[in-house]
Amino acid sequence: MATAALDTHELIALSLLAEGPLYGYAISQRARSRSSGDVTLTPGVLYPLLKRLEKGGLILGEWDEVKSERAAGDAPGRRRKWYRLTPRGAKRLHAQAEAHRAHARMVEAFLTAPEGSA
Amino acid sequence: MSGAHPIPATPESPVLASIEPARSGQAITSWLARLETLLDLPAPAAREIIEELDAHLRERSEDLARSGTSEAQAVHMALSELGDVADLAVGYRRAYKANPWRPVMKALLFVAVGSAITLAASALAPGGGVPAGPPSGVRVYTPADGGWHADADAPTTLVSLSVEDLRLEEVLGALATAQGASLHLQRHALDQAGINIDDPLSMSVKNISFTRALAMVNDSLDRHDGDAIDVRIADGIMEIAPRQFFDRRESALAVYDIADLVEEVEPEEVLQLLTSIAEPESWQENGGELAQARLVGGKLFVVAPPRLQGRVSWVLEQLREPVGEDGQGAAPAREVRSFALSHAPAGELSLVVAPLLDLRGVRVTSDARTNSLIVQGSDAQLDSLELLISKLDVAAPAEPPAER
Repeated sequence: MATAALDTHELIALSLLAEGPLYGYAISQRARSRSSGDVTLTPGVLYPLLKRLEKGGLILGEWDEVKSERAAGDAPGRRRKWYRLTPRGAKRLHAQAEAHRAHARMVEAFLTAPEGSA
Repeated sequence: MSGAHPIPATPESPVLASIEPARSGQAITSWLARLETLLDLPAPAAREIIEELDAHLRERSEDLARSGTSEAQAVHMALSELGDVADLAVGYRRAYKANPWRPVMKALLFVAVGSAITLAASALAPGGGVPAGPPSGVRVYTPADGGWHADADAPTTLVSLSVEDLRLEEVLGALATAQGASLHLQRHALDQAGINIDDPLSMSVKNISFTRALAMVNDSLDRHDGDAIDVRIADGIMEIAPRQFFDRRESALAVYDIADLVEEVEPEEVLQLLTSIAEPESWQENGGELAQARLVGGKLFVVAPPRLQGRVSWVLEQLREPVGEDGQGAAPAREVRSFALSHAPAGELSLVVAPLLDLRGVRVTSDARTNSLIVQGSDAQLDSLELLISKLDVAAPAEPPAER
């Protein structure tokens, strides 16, 4: 099926990472705020997805020791895994974006067709 | 913070909400422990997953608690967002290329390693262990085209190597020298696959095959599948690159005529079988980028590296193989049938058909009393015999006038 190649979650994750490195939780937060709450990249979907993208060499994960910038009382030494896009990931994103646009155009042609005149 | 105050039970979750805040961290810990056992992944991989999810859960529940939810409730919500623990484990396992098929393939490929060792086979084979023979009746895929470029010879020299913290590049150089070849690294491709030629390597081996040595290098660098280091040797040059590099370079279009197959099997079924069992993650149909397959008419077009084409043709071969008549499987059921004859005398007819059928393992005897032929053989053989008998067992033509 041609639609199997269109993976919305993958597209969202890759395109958010194209803007700069992010860690898992931040990706899900940003997906939610960017879509005004319409897109919920639940962690149960997101983390295995990140693992798959990492294994496929599309993104690269690196651990970083952080002090949370928000809570002063945070336990020191909490680690986060930051992901960034690899050149291969950027290529995939480009291809995926093209596929999504083509798909949208195709569907759009039907949606904008003059509706039955009343 | 509401610290020591008992938290009133909420209608949504009376149990969890009544847990003291101090114990909510424990809810996360025990949830993660359950996930860890279900993951069934190598310890370092599992630990990393657990640590990442732990960080997520704590941050998420802190956020929720900040917006006014009770701490216990926040933990409960953060956990339920992750969904069912078993589903998550399955998701991870699937994401890991160690899909359920891989261990099976490993085992099969390992027994396939015969005198003509191929790199693909031994690179996939685990480091140790004695290859066990396949269970009888099981056919083993032999990667005839596995890994080696057509004009390259698989190295036969044995390798002995003892190095301590030597750079990967130097180790590979030593392997090349042992084969009398000069080393050529595809640096850019190696870099892109995250293979660092400056990584230190320690290994001590004696008189092992070159392919095994390379497999050990891959093992110790934790390199697998497309990211494993692969090699081609031609014209005195040993070329080193990630397997996916060679895969892409050698990818070719092959056309398989499956018109005969699709009479019995739905063409979509053939396609689905291939893309789900022959390196599933490689197929475009599954989101991969290494291989594609299209069905047009009775033809199957496959663009894939030789390694994968070999598997495709092997699978197709198996589909063509009639079930249970491979000499190794169960012998076709034999049965006994008797044919009562109306015209021809059984004794005579048995003399006629016996030599014809004897060759195929059919036993014939005749019973004069009932004028029957008693035959033992497979269903199909007996059917064709029946046809033969029906042609022979006819009233004899009128005797030609004696010319005397």
